[in-house]
Amino acid sequence: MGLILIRKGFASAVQDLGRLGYQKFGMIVGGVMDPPSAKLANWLVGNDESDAVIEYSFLGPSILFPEDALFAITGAVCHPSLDGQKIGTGKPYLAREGQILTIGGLVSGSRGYLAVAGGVNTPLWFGSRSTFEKAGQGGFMGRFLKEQDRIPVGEPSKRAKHVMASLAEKKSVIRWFAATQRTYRDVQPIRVIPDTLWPRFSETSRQVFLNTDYQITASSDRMGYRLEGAGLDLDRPIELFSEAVTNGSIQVPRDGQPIILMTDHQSTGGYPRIAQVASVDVPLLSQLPPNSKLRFQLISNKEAEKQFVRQVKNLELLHNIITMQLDRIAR
Amino acid sequence: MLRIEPFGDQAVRVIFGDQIAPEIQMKIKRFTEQFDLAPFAGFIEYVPSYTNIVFFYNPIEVLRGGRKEITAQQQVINYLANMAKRVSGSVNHKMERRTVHIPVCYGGDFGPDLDEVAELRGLSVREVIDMHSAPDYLVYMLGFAPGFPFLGGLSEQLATPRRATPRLKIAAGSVGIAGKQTGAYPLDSPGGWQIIGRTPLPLFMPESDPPTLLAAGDLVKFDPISRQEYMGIKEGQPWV
Repeated sequence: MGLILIRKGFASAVQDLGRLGYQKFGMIVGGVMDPPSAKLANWLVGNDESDAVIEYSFLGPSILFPEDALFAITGAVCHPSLDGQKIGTGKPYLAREGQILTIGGLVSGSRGYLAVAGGVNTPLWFGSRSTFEKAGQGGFMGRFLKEQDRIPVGEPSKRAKHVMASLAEKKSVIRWFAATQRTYRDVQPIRVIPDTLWPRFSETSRQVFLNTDYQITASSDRMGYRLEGAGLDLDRPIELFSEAVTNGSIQVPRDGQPIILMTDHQSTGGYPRIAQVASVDVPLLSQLPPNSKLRFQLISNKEAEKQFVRQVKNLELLHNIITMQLDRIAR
Repeated sequence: MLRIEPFGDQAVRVIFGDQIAPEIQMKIKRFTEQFDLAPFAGFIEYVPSYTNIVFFYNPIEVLRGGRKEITAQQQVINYLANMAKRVSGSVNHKMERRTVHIPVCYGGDFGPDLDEVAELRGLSVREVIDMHSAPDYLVYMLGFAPGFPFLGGLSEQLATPRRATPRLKIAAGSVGIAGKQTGAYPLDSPGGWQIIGRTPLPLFMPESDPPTLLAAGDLVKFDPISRQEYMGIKEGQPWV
């Protein structure tokens, strides 16, 4: 089994849910930017949610299937086609040997996911298949994908095989589709938790941080989003030592323009942090393209945890429904 | 003395002090050693740094095993607070530290800034090498890149500001000085440190577990070597 890349798209790479447990050695966690969408793609093709997928940004790849394969596309909205025929997203499709999938440009949202039954099967490196590009490790040969790459795919699950057999026989297309609910607003509200250094920022800074818009600049990537907006400063400069940071940490360097740390952030950082994006909103944030505007809303740690737990429960429900639907197709 | 505070909604920070000091690093090391013996359900990983340890957890898993009426974060804070009591009550045994010898070929094209550092500090090149290779440096933490050590113990006399213009590429293994810090680059990377030498040893070892030569709490001793020795080690001669 395998996939052959015909067009590489933009920043296409093999990713899974990240490499956990090695940050104390200076390694990054990495992985998909939008975990709920990646999990959804995997569920749709009968994979484990932690199986590796192909993630792309802004422009999707084109892929040749050298053998029959069950695949699904989730995440950013796009208009894919299979051998020139328009297809939908959020549902499993059977690609026949020799067919070409064209994903094309992303029209809303900025990260898309392609899952294939069996999962992308590049070697595990420290328990993960995520691409750690700076170290040249993990994923597909430690790098972003390019044309002519032949990406290995694992053995589809029993459930996926049944779905494939059934779709091949009925020659029918699935009517339903599944999506993680996303609303992108002109000015996207993003919930944040105050950092312990919050009181050390000037009164004016705290005011403007919550009451003015910030724009994601073009010099943003998988490591971090550089924002542009009202400058922020501390009441008095403080000496900070490097310490652990995490996804959604909002750092304020000396120029006063905040940087939100994203999936490929370094394990440690030494800039003062004003706030922390609530985990529940990190996937949404990761879908916002450059030039998007944000408005931060303060919530408590307790509320942030509650919202995250609710998001996970909703996803579990969706997972159960998908599994039931797949079993119905296979019957 | 010890503070525990939330860090976002899926991490907790345990703070041991507010300055860079070997005693604080020792407390951090002791705490992580104790924690390794009894991690809580839902624990993902911890990251120690100069003055604190951040514990990352999965709130869903914490709630699954624990009480539902209080938040996962509060349960983690309680767990770590209890552990802190036990650790501070335990016998203050002497800390065993591993010393890692790192051979360094100083100067030449391996250490293009060695002459400048000597000149800026009013020292001879020999003195810079002697002073840099004398101490047992303490690895406070790893960060920035896989295997990059934040070392303490550089002689004040060697403290040199970063280069005005950073280099686009510093070769893996380069040993440098930046202000009061000294360290070695595990990967080719851009950087503004004053580069005084290079080690043939890999600091990042993608095939080994753990993937790094050093760990927080280790001691590092830089041993000056000749260019010939450098080449020998690079070609596989053992280094003890």
